[in-house]
Amino acid sequence: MALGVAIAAVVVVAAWMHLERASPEIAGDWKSWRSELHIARSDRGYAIRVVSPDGFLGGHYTGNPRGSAVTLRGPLSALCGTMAYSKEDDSLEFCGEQFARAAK
Amino acid sequence: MIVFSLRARTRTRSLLLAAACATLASACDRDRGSVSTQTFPTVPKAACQSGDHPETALQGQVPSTLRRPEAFGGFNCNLRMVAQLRGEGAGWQHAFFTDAAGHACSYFDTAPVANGRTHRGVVVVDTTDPAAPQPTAYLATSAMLDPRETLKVNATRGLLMAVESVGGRTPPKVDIYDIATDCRSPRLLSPSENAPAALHKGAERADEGDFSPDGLTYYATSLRSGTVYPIDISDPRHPAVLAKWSMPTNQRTSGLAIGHDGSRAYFTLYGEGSASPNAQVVGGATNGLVVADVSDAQARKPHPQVKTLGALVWGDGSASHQLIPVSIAGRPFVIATDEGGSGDSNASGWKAACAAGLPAWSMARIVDVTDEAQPRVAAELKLEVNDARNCDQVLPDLAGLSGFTYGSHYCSVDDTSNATLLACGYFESGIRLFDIRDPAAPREIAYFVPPSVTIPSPGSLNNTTAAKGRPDHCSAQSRFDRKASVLITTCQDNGLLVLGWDTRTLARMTPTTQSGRPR
Repeated sequence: MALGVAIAAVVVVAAWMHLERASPEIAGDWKSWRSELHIARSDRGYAIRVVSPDGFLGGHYTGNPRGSAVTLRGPLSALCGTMAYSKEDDSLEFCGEQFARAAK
Repeated sequence: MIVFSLRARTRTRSLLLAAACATLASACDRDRGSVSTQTFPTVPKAACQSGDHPETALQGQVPSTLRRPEAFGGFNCNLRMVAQLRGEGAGWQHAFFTDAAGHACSYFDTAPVANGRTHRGVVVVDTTDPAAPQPTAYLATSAMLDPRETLKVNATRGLLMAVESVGGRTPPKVDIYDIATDCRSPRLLSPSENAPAALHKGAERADEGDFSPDGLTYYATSLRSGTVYPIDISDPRHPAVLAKWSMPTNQRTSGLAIGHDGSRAYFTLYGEGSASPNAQVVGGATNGLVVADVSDAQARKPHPQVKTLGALVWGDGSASHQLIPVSIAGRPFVIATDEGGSGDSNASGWKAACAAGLPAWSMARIVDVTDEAQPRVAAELKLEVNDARNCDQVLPDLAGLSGFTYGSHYCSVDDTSNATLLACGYFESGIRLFDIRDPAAPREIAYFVPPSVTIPSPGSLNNTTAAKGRPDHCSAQSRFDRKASVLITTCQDNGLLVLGWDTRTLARMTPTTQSGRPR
C-alpha cells in the first residue's frame, strides 16, 4: 500500500515537472481593452503587476506556471486563481479579460 | 479561447492536480487563495417561553399544511408584536434615524406600482413612541418612488438618500433629504424634479448603495452593469460622480459597506453558487466579497482608483447581497448575507443544490477580516431549512414557487462597534435574532414569523401570492431599540412591525461570564 502511494507520488511529480518545463514564456507586457499586465520572471515563477485604472483587477500577483496556465496568488486570486495562455494566438486570459502582447 | 490542442493536456493536468491535492490538500487550498469550502453546522435553535407560538416543523419552516388562506397565524419565540403599522405594505428595506430633538424615525420603500395606492413612495414613520408608530410623510420624488435597495441614512450628517432605480432615466435622479432638523419631515436638498438631471454622464440606474461614514460620499452600484460609482455629495445640491469602477468581466456587485474611516470598502461579489449550471461553465463558484481600498475617492484625488486588497469566495450560496463591517469583542468581522442559495432560485436549482449536499436557500455568514488579504468564514447562520439533509421535508412547501422563499436578505446588528445581537430577515422564515458574541458559535435566541394576510397589501412586493396563504416576506433591516426593548422592522404585507422582547428572557437567553463572553 505504502509502496503504491510512493510510486504514484513519483509519477505525479515527474508528470508535473514535465508540464512545468513545457510552460510558455509569458514575461513581458500585455494589454486588454481596459487593463495591462506587466510580467517579470521571479525566483519561483512570475511577478505580475496588473494595472486596471477603472476596475478591481489591479494589484500585485505571484504566478506559478502549470503547463499552459499560471496559478496565481494575489488580491483577487480567490475569484481569478489562474491565468491561461493560448499558444494558438499568443494571448493570455485573466479574470475574463483577453490580453495580447503590448507592442514594444 | 483555450486551444483545443491543450484540452487533453489540461484534462491530464486536472487529474494530476486532483491526485496531488488528495495528498497535499492544504498546499492546494493555499494556491487557490480564499475559497471557503468549510461546512458549518446549523445554528442552535432558540428555547421558547410559555405563551409563545413556536415553529411546528423545522427551524425556519412554514410547512405546506399551513400554506392555505387563513391557515397561518404566525410563529413567535421570545419576540412578541408590540405594534404594527400595516399601511399599504412595504418593500425591500428599512432605514432609520434619531434626530437631535430625540425624534425616532423609520423610512421604508413600497412597491413602485400605482394600482390601489393612496400613498406611493417612501413612508416616513415617527417611532418615538414605539408602541404607537405614526406615519408623518410620504416621499414621492423620482428616486423615492422606486429606490429599490439604495434607500440609506447617514447618521453623521442626518441625510436620507436614494438613487433612481428600475423605472428611472439615464443618468438617474438622486434624491437627498435633510432629516437632521426634524426626521419626521424630511426636506429635499438635491435638485428638484424640474432641474436638469442630477448626475452627469457615467452614472447608471442603481440597485444598491451606501454612504461613507462621514456622509460626504455615496457609493452606488448597478447590478446590471457590474459597476460602482462614488458620488460626491459634499454639497447635496450639486451631487457629482467621482468615478465609475467596473467589477471583473462577467462579475456583478450589489450591496457594499464603507469602513469607519472611509478608506476601506467591502463589496459583494454577486455571483454563482457551486450548484449553479453557470458555475460549472466558469469553473467554480464566484460568490463572495471583495475588500478594497477606496481612499482615493475619500481623499478626492483626481481620477480616483479602487485597489483590491483581498477577496473571499464561497460556493454554498449565491447573490451575495449585503455586508456589515462590525467589531465583535474587539476583532473585525463582516456580516455577509446572500440572497440566493447554492443553485439557481427555482425548483430545479433547489433540487440541484440538495443533490450536491448544499444549502438550497440563502443565509448570512460571519466573516473574519482580521487578515484583509485572506478573509475567512467564521460561522454560518444556517437554519434547519438550509440543511440539505432536510430537503425532502422542505421542498414540498415551495411547489409552484420560485425566487425568494426561504432565505436571507438583510441583517442588522445592535451596535457595529461592539456587536452582540444580529437580526436577519429570512423572507418566509421571518425575523430571526441571534447571539453573536462568540462569532464562531452563533446561537438563535428569538424569532418572529408574521401571519399570512388574507388581503394583500397594494404596496407590498409579495402581493401577488400572499392571498393564497403564502407566508409574508421579511426582507428588511431592523432597528434595535435596547432602551425600549424592541426591534423595529418591516415585512412586505404586514408593513412596519414593532417586536418586543422581555429583558429578563433575553438576559436568560444570553448569559455572560464576568468577561462579557458567552458562557
